[in-house]
Amino acid sequence: MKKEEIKILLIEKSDIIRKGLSVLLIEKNNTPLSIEQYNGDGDLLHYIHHASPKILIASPSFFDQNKKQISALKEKYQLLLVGLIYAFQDPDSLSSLDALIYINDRAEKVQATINELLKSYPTMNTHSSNEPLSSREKEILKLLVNGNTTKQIATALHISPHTVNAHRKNIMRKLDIKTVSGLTIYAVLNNIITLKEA
Amino acid sequence: MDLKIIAANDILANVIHSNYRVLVVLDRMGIKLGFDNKTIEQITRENNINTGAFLIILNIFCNNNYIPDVGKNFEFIPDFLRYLKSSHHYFLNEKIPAIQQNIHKLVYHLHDSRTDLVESFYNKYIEEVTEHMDYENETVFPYIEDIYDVFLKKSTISSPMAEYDISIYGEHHDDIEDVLKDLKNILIRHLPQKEQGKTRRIVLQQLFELESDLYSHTRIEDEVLIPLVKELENDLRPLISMT
Ligand SMILES: [Fe+2]
Ligand SMILES: [Fe+2]
Repeated sequence: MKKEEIKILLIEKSDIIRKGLSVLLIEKNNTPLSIEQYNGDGDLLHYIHHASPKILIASPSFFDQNKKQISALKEKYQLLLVGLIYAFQDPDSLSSLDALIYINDRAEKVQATINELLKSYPTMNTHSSNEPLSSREKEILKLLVNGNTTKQIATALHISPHTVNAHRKNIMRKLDIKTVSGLTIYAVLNNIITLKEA
Repeated sequence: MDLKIIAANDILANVIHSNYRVLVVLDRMGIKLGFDNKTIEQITRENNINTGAFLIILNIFCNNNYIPDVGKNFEFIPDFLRYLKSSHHYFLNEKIPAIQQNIHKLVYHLHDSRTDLVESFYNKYIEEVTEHMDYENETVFPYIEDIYDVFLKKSTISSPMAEYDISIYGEHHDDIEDVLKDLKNILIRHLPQKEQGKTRRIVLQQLFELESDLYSHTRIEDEVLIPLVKELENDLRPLISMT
């Protein structure tokens, strides 16, 4: 599969800093990046909308001034926020950011920061795969739609609640069904449980 | 997809040509067709609709990537409420029952007792959505109207904010689309392939329409209405404590 290009929007007034950082990011990065630059003139919202970036790099004060819209964006599009820091910052104001780039960072450090961030980038393929449910998963599905809690399932199968959760997530991902009543319908249609049990 | 932001001097007829689904938005705002080559600004003025509020509704409806910025435009509030209320009416009295009828038809003709579950699944969903929208109609919207009246100085400062506050709504505002997504997938992937292909296709198309309509509806509530009312509460709070 072709690697998807990751869009970065770079918001910074200074031409020197903005263009310099942009060159650093493009250099020697094995993930295809496309960098949009914005110098602060004109309608920013319009700009963000057109660029539809996955990563936003800007000063902490920019994030602070546009808190509401940024948090809406972050939630909806899993947008990653990177603070560009060139003065002392209150650590509290940085806690909502995903990574930080300092103005004194060496080139390798900046690239490493972005690479690290890209590794945590949620995978694009969130839709169900064509793997069938394993027999273990069917067993867990059966207990789940019969109204058992994660803890009860764990006890019954002698596994940890953590493992039950992982199985449950996989079941929901494979079937692309997120509610328990939806899973019940699936289980009945596929004779995993009987209509009486449902 | 690179969608253009709709602006006040755009010709409304052209907007419809580029996305016919906005017809329901016009309907909800009481705009009648037959408006020639008039711009959005002209039409909204003639219909006593706030142009800025209308543009935000339209852009959210047409474009999932659009980020609204309402600032402190409190004068948008009445038109947002009007849109949300008439959408509720449309969902509860038009779209959701129409889908219910088709699901009944689909299940009835499948002659398989197991598929009855699909119908009860949808009926449970109707209960959930009705409860959600009733709460908004009966508690949230009247509260907003009350504090907007205080803002307009139409009513004295008797502080409706003493008992309620928009963050209560914000925190409990559930997603009402998950169940629809599951239902779509059950129809697309899991229901046995028998006849009734046509009804099944119609139900699916209706579910897709309802889901995207509900999605933009919820965005107006979460990203426009709640932040705007929060700003209004912040502005009113000092006035109230003075009395
Ligand atoms: Fe609503
Ligand atoms: Fe709602």
